[in-house]
Amino acid sequence: MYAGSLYYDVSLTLVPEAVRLLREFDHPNKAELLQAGSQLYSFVANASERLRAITLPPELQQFREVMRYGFLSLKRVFAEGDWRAHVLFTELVAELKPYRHLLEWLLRAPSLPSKPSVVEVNTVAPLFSAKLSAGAGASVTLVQKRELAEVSIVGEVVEEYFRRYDVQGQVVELEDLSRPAALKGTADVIFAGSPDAWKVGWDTLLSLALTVLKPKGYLAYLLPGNFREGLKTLLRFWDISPFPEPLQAVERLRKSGFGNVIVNTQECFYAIFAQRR
Amino acid sequence: MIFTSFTLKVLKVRCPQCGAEFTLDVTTAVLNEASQSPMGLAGVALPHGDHVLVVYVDSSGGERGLRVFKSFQTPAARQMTEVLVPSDALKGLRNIGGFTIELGKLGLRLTSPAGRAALLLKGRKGDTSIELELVRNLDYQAARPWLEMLLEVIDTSYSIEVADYVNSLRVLDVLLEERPFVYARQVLWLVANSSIVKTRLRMPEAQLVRTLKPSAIFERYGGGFVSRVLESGEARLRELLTAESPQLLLSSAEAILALYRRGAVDLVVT
Repeated sequence: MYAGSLYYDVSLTLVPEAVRLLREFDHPNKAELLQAGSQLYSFVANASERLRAITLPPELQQFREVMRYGFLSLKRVFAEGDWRAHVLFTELVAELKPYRHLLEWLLRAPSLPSKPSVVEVNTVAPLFSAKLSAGAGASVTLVQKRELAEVSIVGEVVEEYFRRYDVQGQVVELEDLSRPAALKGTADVIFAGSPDAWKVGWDTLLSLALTVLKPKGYLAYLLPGNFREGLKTLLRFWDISPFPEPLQAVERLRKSGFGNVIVNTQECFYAIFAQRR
Repeated sequence: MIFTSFTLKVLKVRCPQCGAEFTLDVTTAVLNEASQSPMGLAGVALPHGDHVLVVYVDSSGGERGLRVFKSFQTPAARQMTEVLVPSDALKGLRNIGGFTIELGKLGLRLTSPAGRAALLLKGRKGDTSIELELVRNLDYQAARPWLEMLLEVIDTSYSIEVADYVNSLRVLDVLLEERPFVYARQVLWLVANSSIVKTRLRMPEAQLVRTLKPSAIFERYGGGFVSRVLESGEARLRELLTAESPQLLLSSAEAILALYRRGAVDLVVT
């Protein structure tokens, strides 16, 4: 059985629920998602059949609850303009067991320099850099797309993270994340690992790392395994395109000038740690 | 540049206590205040007779509730009722050694026993004036914005509980050692209005926070306090913000705001 198969099955069974909820608000990709939902009918039926035969372990029940809440958070944002739900959803994803395990693994990476300058990509809840700062005295630059940075509740939550974790931090708003000219060669570490960072896409995340990292700087990315159906369609609701399979990602990093590439896979997430040559 | 406040809407309201009718101008300044408050509401005070009618207006100019407070003095009398705050209220403070707060709209003057001031901060906004005696020689330029923020908060607060205003000073005592931050005004406002604001749990958010315990909330605020808020159903902030230490009081108020920012609680005026 493929690693994390049950997570993909649970994801598949959630798609019809997500599609049903779509009817209650205007989603930018509504037509595409409705179509994708109807095309998955037989996959969903098979996944439901497989899940019927087992009792879901607690971490999978939790995954299902968090993703269900994710749909509600989309409705709250698009129909009510209430971004609080998006903040909570982002934080709940970070509490999922496989995600938490990978985040801890990245934070414990022995080769991270002390007092590093960290760039964290496009998130409403900069947990990685906050924790790194609390442990290793990092100085943090949070790069946010303008559309996110302009939401007042997002600004308050980011400041809350900076205050509560005693982070020396700044937020840089960018129209286009593929052009972070002002941050060129400034970072010892770059981290991406939230739904908003995943939305940026693999290619842009890679070019961002190549631009902002100093020579010998570290890339620490925590990514969804949405190269496979189930999570693939589910994450389209957040406008997240498929990431490559871990081995393909490693190959791409090596070709792009990274060495010491290590991957850790946990269920339907994987983390990559690599050093720029 | 001169900023002028324009009337955008006119509301007709009736005082539930005496039946008096009022015409209320909803100005751009009122809408601005509503959009900046944690609950998206601004209170407009209409003193008359021996009481004050407060009309709560949302950021669209809609009426969102009325509340009547008894005045300590009729506004016409122009005399303040003096309330001497016992020195116990200043226990645990590091910076504020004494204070006087004049709440014009309530006809109330709160004073503490005089302290030894290294620095005196004074300011006025609308019907409110504050004098703070600071026992330590803090940087005036750094302390001044905090005084202005407190003035703004107290001038737009409608609590009649002396303890609420004293607690806002206790929180300010801690904040004086920090630089102002984006949501500082909201923290002070919550504390200054804690007897008229209630938390109301919001589902499924409250349940999810309870079970998944997001790190930023449970690691960085007192987990016990957060659980208490999430188990209390509906509670007046005054009943939740009971910490004796000013630092804990600030942390508790911030925790409530953190839960609000995740949609786990709503904050409602009652």
